[in-house]
Amino acid sequence: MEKETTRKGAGPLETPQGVVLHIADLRVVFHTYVGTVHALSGIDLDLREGKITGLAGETGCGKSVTAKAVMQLLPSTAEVLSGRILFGGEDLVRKTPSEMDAIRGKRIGMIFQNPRAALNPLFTVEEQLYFLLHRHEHLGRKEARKRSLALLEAVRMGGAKKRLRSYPFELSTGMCQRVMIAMGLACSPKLFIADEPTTGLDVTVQAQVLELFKHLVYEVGSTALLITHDLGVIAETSDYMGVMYGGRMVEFGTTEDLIEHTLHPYTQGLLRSSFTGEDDDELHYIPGVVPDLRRPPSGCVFEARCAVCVEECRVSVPDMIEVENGHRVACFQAGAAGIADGGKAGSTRGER
Amino acid sequence: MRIGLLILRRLLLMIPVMVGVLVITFVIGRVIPADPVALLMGQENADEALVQQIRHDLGLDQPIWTQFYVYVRNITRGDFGMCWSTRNPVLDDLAVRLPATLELVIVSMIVCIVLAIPLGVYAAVKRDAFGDHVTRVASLVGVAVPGFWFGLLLIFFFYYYLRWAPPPMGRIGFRTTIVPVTGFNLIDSLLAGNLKAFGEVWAYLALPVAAVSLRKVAQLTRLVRSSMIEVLASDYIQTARAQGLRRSTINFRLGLKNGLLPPITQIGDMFGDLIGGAVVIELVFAWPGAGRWAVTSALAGDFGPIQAFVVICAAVRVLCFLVADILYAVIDPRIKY
Repeated sequence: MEKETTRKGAGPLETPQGVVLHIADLRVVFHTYVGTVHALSGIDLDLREGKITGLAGETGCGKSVTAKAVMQLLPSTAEVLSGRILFGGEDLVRKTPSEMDAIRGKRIGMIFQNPRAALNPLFTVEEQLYFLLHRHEHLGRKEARKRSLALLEAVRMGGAKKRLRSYPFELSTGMCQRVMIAMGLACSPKLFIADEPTTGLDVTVQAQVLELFKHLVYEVGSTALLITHDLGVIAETSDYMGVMYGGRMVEFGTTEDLIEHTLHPYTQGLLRSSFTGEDDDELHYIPGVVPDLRRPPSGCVFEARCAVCVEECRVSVPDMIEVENGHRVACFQAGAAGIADGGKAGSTRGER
Repeated sequence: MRIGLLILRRLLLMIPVMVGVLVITFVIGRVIPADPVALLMGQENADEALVQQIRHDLGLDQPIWTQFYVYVRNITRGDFGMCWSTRNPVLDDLAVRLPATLELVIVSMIVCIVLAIPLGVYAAVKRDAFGDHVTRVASLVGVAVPGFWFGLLLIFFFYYYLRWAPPPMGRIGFRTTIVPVTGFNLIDSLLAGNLKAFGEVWAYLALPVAAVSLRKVAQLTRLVRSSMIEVLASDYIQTARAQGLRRSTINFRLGLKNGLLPPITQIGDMFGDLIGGAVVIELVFAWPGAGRWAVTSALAGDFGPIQAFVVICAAVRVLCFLVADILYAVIDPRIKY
């Protein structure tokens, strides 16, 4: 599956202090029948040790591609044009498939959306955990069973012993996701990636799974990347958050900063679309559609849908600029859009 | 327990199917415009009284319903009647010939499975790469080429031209004798400890097996390929990749178990197909099997053997479906019955 990547850029392989995963200028394109899709146009991202970082954005913004690029699980149509993904003193972009196999599952765990489909229907929970534990921890059947039992108990699976012998079709979706989390954390990975882990779960189950996820990541001392389109999920779980749009990172900072002092018009629009204020019972949305990434705009990617855009936005691409202590934004109008006037920026009121 | 119930239920379901088969073979036997009495006596000097006597002995003067009753009753006792051309009981003649057919078919089946599954998986893993195109073209040719013609080509090259293969005349050279125990030469030669004969049996089997298998290998490879492509694109295989499992584990342990579900039905079907379809190859290679025997008997107007052959083929086919269903149930825990 993995494609030979174009190798560009060199330099020290050390990640900055306290950073587990350092992504710099990551560019990924997909070669499709209808043209070249610029899925990621230069992403920078640092995951701080022991913290949960959320990535938000609409479908097609590149958040899943970012995760798959880290895991080197991109489809064969994808090509990494440039960039570095530093993890544990190594550049993952330069890893061969077999080198990646030794990292995946052991040092980086990952779970996906739709947990029922993510589990193999023809193998019991125990067998699926065994394959993983045997591969990375070299455990025999007996030891693997012991460890699996402990793992299922750690993810608070009721009747863990019985569940070991269950097939995925005998489990609820929430239980399947618990099994996935157990697998993801089985080898105590340094990094844990959750790609839309709660999509498709009932709201009540969703809360339980998120609580468990948060608890376990902190307990294992792992660092997590949480990908979701649901800002509510990020607000509840993440320490840091990044907002992506059209294959670019548009805003990054602590979750608190991003929600309280939103700078980018797109983030403002997203927030207004997901949270309803108390004095406000109207539905909000961002007008327009996401740009065609086969022909990315020459200026700011959000320009066409932005209420506060000016001539400059159409001509040149704004860089990520640090506004205050770790809070970065890519917008020429970040000041103008401001916090006070945030309400009007990039959103439209719809009558009910 | 679960499986036991399934087998019992399916065995009971076999009864109506077999009754249907018996009705059809009986009717076909009666509408064939061949007169068994004439066959038995020879055409000349037919003495009218003797003819009547024989008709009575054979039960041919009875009403058709009585004849059917007797026919079914005899078959349930293992009596398929007489082979008029050889004057042996049909079952005795069949017992000599069926192992030859089964040996050919079973070896072909094994060859098919052993070749087609790895080839199909390989083509799916190397999807759209050079190896996949080669496999695809080869299997397309395999499906398109008629088995008997391929058999003749094989004889031409390997026997006539290269002189590698033994003559296409039967299961074993006339200088070698194998004491029949099971009727399967491969087993019997081993039982006798005669390794030379064992090797010779393989040499005689090689070309007919190749001719029989070609088409089936091609079909099965294509099915395994498409089924595996679907499996390899599934979420659970992505999970396995994200867990860094070895490619061999992913493709052959996790993937293949899922990818084998659709081909299993075809493999079951194949066995029945091969027994019926081996007729042509048996003729080409002068293979002394049940298929050739049924055809030559038919040409002689002798319908006892055909009836027996059809009944056996039908029973084998139903049993194959049963085996396929059992395999399915063993592999897929989701199947309820």
